[in-house]
Amino acid sequence: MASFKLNQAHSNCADCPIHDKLSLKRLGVDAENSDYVVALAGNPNTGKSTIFNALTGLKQHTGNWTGKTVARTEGSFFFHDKKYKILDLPGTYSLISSSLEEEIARNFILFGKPDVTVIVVDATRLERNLNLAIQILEISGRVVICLNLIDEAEKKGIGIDTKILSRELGVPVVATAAREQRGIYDLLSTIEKVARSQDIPRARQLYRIPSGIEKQIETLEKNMRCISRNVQCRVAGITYPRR
Amino acid sequence: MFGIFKKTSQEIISGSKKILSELIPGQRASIDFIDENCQGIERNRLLDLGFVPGAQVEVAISSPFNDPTAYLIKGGLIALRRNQASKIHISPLQ
Repeated sequence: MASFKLNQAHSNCADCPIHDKLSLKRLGVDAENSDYVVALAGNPNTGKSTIFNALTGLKQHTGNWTGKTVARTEGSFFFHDKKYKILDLPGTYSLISSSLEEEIARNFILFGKPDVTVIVVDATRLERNLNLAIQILEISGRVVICLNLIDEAEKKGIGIDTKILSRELGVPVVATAAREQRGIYDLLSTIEKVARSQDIPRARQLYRIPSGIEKQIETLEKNMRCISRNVQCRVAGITYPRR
Repeated sequence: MFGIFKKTSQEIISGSKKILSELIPGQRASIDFIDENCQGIERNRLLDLGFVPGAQVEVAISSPFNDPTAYLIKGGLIALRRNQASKIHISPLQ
């Protein structure tokens, strides 16, 4: 009788956080036949592995130092009857890679074509973290910004308006404190929304290529496609002027 | 012959004479520009780490012979080799 009442309650409040909590099934490393692929990207030491563990139930080694994750790690979870494969990528400051682990991260974001890229940013060091976020937004609009370590930011008296940030970047922004499991279900439902949506959000582009050059690139792109269908013609991160 | 006294155009505009590797722990500065001789991956790396013109930097910790030295910049603690820091032109702050 009691369980019947509980079931009734679920069907009536699909938006309730408790509902989300019950629809998440952590699957650990079993990552075969997944419906969606999610990549976790971000600067070093922003809590990507902690978020990965919170979503998959794995006990991936986490630590407060840079360069802890050097290879990509896979895991998966079930959420609302869909299976998600999630990749924990090594931290990187930029898509223009200068070390092996940065190359692993870059290659997957560029060529792995994830359904959703979650960019984990450190809320206490937002400015330095947005460099990578903007580079990723040049490649894909299927992005969720995860404003992690929000508890640390609150302690330091840093307030961040996620609505304005989301409007400026053109992609959803979710505040989390993964260590305390705060905001994880918010993050999950946002990932789900982006993964299931047909239309790709219009991400903010900081720099537009002049139309003359754009035409030349298009011609080159056409020629390159004649050689190979799967060729990636554009590399992000170098399109805006660097001083 | 007077080549060594010649300043680059950027240097004349900013009036910068000092480089980051000359500072001692506790000193603060504002970054003017990255040396023109520093190009490619090396330059991009410094920019990605937050050493961009206008950014404020403070020397946090220094090791023997100042190589490497850790700098506080844009909320992060970043260690640079002496030869990397010598590519960054600065104006000291009080």
